[in-house]
Amino acid sequence: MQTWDELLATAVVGTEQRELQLAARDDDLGQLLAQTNNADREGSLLTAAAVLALYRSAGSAPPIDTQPAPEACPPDEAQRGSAASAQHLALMLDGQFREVLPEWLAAMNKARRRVPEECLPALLDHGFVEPGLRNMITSVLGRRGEWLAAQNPDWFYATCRDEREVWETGSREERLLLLENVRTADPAKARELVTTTWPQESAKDRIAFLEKFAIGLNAGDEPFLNDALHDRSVEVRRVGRTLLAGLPSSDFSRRLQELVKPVMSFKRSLIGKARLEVALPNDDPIAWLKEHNIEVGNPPQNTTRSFGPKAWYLKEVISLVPVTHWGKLWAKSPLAIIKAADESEWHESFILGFVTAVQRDRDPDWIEALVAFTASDEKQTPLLELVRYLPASRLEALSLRALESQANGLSDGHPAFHLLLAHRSAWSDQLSRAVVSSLKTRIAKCHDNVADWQTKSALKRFARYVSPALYDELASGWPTDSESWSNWSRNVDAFQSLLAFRRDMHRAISEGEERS
Amino acid sequence: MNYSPAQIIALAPDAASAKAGRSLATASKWQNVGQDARALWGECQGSGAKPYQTVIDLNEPAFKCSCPSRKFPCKHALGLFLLIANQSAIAGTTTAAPGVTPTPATTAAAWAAEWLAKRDSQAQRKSETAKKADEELDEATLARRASQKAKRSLDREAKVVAGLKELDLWLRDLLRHGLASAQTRSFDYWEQMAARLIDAQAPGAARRVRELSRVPQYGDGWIEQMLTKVSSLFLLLKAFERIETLPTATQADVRTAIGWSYKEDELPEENVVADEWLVLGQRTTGEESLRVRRTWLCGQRTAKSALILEFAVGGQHLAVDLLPGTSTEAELIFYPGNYPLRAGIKKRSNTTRTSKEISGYSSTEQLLTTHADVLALNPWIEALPAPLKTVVPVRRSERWVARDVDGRLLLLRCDAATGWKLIALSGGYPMTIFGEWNGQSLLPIAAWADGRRVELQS
Repeated sequence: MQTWDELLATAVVGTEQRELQLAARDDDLGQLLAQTNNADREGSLLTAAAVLALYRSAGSAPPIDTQPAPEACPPDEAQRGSAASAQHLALMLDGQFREVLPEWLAAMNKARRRVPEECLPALLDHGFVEPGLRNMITSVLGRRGEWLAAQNPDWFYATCRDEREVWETGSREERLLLLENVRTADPAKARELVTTTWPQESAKDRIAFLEKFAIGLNAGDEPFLNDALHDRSVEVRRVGRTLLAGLPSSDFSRRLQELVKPVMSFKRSLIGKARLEVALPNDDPIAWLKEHNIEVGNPPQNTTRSFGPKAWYLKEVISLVPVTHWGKLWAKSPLAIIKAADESEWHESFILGFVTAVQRDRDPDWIEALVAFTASDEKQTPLLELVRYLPASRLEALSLRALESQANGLSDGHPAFHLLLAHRSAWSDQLSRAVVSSLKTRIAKCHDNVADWQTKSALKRFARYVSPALYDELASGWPTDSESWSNWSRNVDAFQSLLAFRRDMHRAISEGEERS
Repeated sequence: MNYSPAQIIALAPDAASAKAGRSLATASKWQNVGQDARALWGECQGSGAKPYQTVIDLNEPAFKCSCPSRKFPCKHALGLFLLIANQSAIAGTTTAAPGVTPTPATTAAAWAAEWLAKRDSQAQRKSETAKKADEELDEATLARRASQKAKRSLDREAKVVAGLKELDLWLRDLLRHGLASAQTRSFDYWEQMAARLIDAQAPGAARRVRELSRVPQYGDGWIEQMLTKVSSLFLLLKAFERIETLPTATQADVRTAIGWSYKEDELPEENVVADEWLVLGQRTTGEESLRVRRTWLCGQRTAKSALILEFAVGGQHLAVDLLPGTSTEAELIFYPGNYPLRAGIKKRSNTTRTSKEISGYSSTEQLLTTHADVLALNPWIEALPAPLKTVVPVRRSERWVARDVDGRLLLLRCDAATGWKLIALSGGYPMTIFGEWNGQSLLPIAAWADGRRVELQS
């Protein structure tokens, strides 16, 4: 459009620099422009520009797409989540009650509902920054979400991609997530995937990948893990040992079981207490291990006089023996063995070794025995945390028993307290009721304003696991006229809010017929 | 209960209130919740000893809460509204869901009933006093008022003439030095001219000058934009110079663009249009100090478009009576002009209906033809309501665009979050988007897909 360009050229540099010279046009526009007064330089420029600008705007035509129309998303059979669910999700992505997002995602997946379309971008963005949630997020996106994710590189994690391609080209995070998924579904396939690139991986990645073998660990992994025992990285060798120790039938584990048999013994005593004894062939742990061709690594530089290199080697060996092996060896209960270990010259090596082994083997009897043993011993309290390796059913039973044992209600020192903190999955109705009633008792009876701060702050944590179906029952009947109520009300309020939110969100997912 | 959670969220005065309201939308916060056909009420335990009493008159809707908040509607009103909306959305009925402590749902609590009764009597008194005001004035008072008004309007006329004369010189000066110089001008250069126009009681012209100061930041093609805007402003002041020679409606367009405003009760009766008005979309702009809400309506029988502008200064609140996606029988009174869009609400019924679909342009061609026709009537028009049917939102060269059935691309003025939201809603299928068309791009306000309306501005 010549006229406009001419106007623009003069306007840019100014009428002082450049005189406007419009070529005559023989159309209507030309006639109109001919009426401007050329003596008035700025005026005629502005007038002509006003006419041209409108002329152009009125006649503008939008460009035609050079690309074909986008491929439409196939229809979704899954039912869309309700408007209320969309609102709950928006609230969580906004930062409120975010701790229950995994629960919401799991419930949506279970109810086979998909995230409403308008929430998909924000949820996919959240998955980008929270890789740990990606599996759950992907399960509720529906076809629309997968279709959308394919259009933004940040969201590729949510698309169906070739596993081998992700493994070969993905980021470290993506590969770890993939390995976790494949390992869960098909451990052998995951192992094959890792083998394809193993020699090229950095030590840091080899360690991370190997650690994932704990998922679905099985006898088929043994040859690969045996190779890891000869890796050039000390840390890879350590992880390989730990994993093989978790396979009691493996050659490595059998050799350790054979190794300790002649050296460690359970000594009964007629008068004193039973104790565990250790008799190394020539009192040199390094030579002893070398003789049996077993590597356990090197002791740290800062061993102390009371816990020297020998104690360290013993601890490592003990930790690599399956924890249930000792009971078979000596025909004793876990508690009897732990008590005897406590009497031993090498008590620290035994207890620390057992603790490491039990975290790997997760034998409930041994966990309970270790916790029972240390519960009576002030200096060993950190071991209370071992209860988190207990299965939920054992935690339920232990918590209920502990709650019944004390009439004064749940408080910081209560034996149920650490059990409840460790119980991080949905609580049964029975346990939910027992905990809340125990808390009510405590608030009604407590007269100390500063006590129980741990319990108070744990209330919100409890609200994540108590049964939301019991909301009406659990949210009412709190001792609001107790003299310590004012110290509790804020925390109880937070407890009720979170529980109410969970109740509402489950209701919106399970019952909500979509209304648009 | 005809309100959806999204509609209720749209009532929130700001994002913080929306967030606070959402977190109060849980049954545990509320006691003595009840509802009947007209209202919702409930008590919310706040930080004080006495719970806050909240009532919602569903007819408009109108809100009342005993809390001290200056926000309106306050978080309690939003929370209660959402709570009930969610529950009836879940239950699919209008009865309160279990879990809310039920009061007899048909009789309002005494404090709620009292407020509702007061509203009724106020509405009645208002219509009575309005009638009386007209009757009681004697002729002398009327004459005095008329002459005072004439004097004020003459004074203003003179001020505007002086102000625009300065603007004329200023614009010529800008052109003499060249538009390229605009890039290096200081903030004061623009602001002083704008301030001068404010003093001259030409706020519309002032706003246009302020807009010029932002043009150099538009990126590619800003010079063209600058020439377009500068020449449009020049056209405006030339039109004003010979305003007596223009037709009445054009005079009104010129005056409106310069910044004259009209009192709604002084607009002529023939400008009234009665129809069922559907709220196409709503957006609020501005800061806490001055918020402006633009509500676009569409007459279901006359197919006329209307724009309701509402202003809130400082702590003032915006009335909440127009819910996006609903329609109401009402009489609108239009401001004068060749293509009247701006209107005020003269009278409205108390009932609203929820609409699922809207009518609109079936191609960008139609929209652009309309836009061209409107430009011929009023060259200073800044935004047209644009309901676009059957467009597919797509991303082309880092930009968000709407693709119509003919494959024509219309630029969308939106951020990535809104762009992705649109694409997610469409799924690659044609959908309806409502937005404001400014001649170059569309600002999306709401979308319809799969039979659902989704707000894009919040």
